[in-house]
Amino acid sequence: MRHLLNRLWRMILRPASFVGKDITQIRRQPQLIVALIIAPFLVLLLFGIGYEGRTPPVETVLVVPPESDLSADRADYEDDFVSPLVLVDVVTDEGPAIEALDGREIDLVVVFPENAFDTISAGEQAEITIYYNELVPFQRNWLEFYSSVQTAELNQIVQREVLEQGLAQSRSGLEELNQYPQELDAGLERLNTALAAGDAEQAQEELVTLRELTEDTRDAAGQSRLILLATARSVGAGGAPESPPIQSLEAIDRNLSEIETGLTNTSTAIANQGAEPQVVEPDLQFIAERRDAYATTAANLPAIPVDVLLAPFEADEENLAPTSPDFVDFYAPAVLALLIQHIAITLTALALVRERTGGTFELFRVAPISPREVLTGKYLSYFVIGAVLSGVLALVIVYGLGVPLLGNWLQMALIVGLVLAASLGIGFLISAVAGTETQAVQAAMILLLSAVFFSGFFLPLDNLITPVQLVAYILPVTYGISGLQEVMLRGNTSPDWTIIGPAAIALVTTTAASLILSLQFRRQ
Amino acid sequence: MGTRTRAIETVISASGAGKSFGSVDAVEEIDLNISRGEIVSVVGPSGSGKTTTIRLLLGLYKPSRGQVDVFGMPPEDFTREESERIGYLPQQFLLYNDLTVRENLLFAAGMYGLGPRERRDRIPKLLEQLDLTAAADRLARDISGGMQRRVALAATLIHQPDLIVLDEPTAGLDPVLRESIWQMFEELRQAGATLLITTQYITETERGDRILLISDGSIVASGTPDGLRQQVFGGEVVRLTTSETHPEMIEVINGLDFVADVRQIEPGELEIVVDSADTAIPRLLEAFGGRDFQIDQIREVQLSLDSVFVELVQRSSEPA
Repeated sequence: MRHLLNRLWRMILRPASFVGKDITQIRRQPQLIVALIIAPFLVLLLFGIGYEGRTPPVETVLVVPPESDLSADRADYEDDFVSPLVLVDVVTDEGPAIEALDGREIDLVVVFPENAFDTISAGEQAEITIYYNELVPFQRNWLEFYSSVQTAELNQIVQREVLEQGLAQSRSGLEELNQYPQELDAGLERLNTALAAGDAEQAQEELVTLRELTEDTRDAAGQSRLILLATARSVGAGGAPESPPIQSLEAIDRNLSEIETGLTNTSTAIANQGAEPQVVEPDLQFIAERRDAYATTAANLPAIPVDVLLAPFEADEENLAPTSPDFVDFYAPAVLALLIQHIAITLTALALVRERTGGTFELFRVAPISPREVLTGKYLSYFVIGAVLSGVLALVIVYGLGVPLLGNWLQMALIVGLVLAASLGIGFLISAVAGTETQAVQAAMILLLSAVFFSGFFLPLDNLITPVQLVAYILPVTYGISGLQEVMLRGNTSPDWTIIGPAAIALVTTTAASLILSLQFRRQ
Repeated sequence: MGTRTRAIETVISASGAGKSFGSVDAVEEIDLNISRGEIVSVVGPSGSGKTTTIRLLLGLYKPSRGQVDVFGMPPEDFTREESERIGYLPQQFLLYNDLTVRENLLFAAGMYGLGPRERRDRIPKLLEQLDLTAAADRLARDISGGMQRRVALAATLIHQPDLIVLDEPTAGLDPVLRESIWQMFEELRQAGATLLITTQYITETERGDRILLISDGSIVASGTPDGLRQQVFGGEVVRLTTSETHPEMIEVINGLDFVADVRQIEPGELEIVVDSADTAIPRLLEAFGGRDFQIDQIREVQLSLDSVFVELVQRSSEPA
């Protein structure tokens, strides 16, 4: 029993010797600690201070060919350019503008077509040519996007003009609708005067005028109804025919139709029975009743402004996320995950290589220490070191930079611990395979580069094709970024996949490293 | 070492053991037995296969042919208990430069599973034995090369192993320090340890019980220092100095039955190989009696091991 306990005690002592040694070695390298904690923190701080997050202005020159007959005055267009496009000049000659673009003095040249009207009147779209001079793919995409937004804006300006012109008639129609009762009253008064004078011919003329007025008013009401129905269809209002304005216009149309009937009946009565007031009195009474109904309905008709018809929708944004982090807050959890992975891989990638090249590996092979004990000892020591460094970084991020931590510390610690464990496993695997320190450092740098591109740090994972996404999922940082952002910025519990992923990586890589180390410990 | 029995015990035995890397034979057939309490020195020219032989005997290399047993079993069958009985100082063993001397020893103690009490007992003693007490809290990088080698030696001995295998333990040390370290080896032998030591300092090998001379991966000679001398010259050497060498003198010497060989190394100087110098000198003088030979000096010559090894290595490289 005592012998067994002694053996167990020694099984603890042997790996523990590595914990003491490795921690002391790291502690003795203050420059390394500076490089691992303070330097990345300063980088993040500098980023936070220096990054404004705004889009720089796109300096634009508008080329208006003389043949286009458009104004060359910059003031006429300044309000027509949408941010970040800033109109810096309007010229009539394309050449100098292109030269300025070649020299990268400006960012964009917008060239109006020479004969836009001829093209449009021929039934084709006129082309606005937009030039830019940009190598950066993202910037190119943005310039193309800005160009399309600007073109849409110019199209909207034209549409506004056209629509305003088109609606002028409709608007006059609406005015007509409102003026109709007064004009009807005036016409009826003239009819009564003719009837009082017994002038049948004059009365018939007045009735013709009144029928034409009523017909025009019906047309105006019909147009207004069509515009309203078209607007309703385009915005997806299925119940528009039952809406009050449409109902009112239909009531107006009925009133006008009945007034037309009354006017016809009056005309017939005069033709048959002569221009006697008592002959037409019932018909005129009927008309007066419909006129009052009409006047009441028309007074309540709404008039839709052109701007509303042009842009029927406006956005009212509301972010349901519990926080609206700025750039530092958003990137801080990702930086933390990236640093944990980088620190762990860099430290451990060299751990076994140094023992091997330093000669101690040969000693371990003869000594009563197993490969598993070597790996366990080193794993524990680097886990302790990594956990302390991660803890310091997390405290600095939360309390130093004020990055929100909406979830709980335990969840955060779980993710950090798993990312650390997985990264240590990868580091030990590199260390077990690498023949020299240079090879180990190269592998660590490649993983850092992969982390920047494939982990979702800068580019969303969805931008990658599926096979390449697999690369993302063999990196612990991918899980760390998602998990930490979820816990810190949304206050949620970490999704299962961000727990299972790094745990699986840690298991697979550490087992692989242990097997390789065992092979290397064997007799050659 | 306390549990060791005093009975003669073979610690390392090799039978036809050899090691090849691809088509290159690094070590040819080795037949060897090293008993408990022996100091065996391994010497040979640089690149002769000393380190490979050590690794083969320790089980770091699997023999390509033949058999190696340590403590009566092949090294691949070692349990931790057998491994704990071995102390190995590799030629390349470098200390952890960013640890102090004491921390290096603490790590070594931990690696061998020594508990806190054993560490407290043994580390100060070893530091004192190896004259390292004053440097105990200095970083390994800040001490001299000789001190570093001693710290490495202390780390090898910290668990009091039965079999101590040292690959060039005194390399780079001054003669005074080498002497004190060899005294320590002798003390370890007295305590029952077995030492297998490679060295480039041939004079050191005389401190051991046995010498293995390795050349081109083969043991070209094995035995005690005197035994090797005998092996090279066929006996002991007597040097005779005379003012004038008579051809008759050489004839007389050659005619003596206890003389194995005689050669003139320069005018007036003869080297005579005999079975035993002590008995041969008076008999030579007796044989010269009554003749007109002018003898200036006659004495036994203890030829240096350097010349013995040079001779042995040269012979081994000559075609058979």
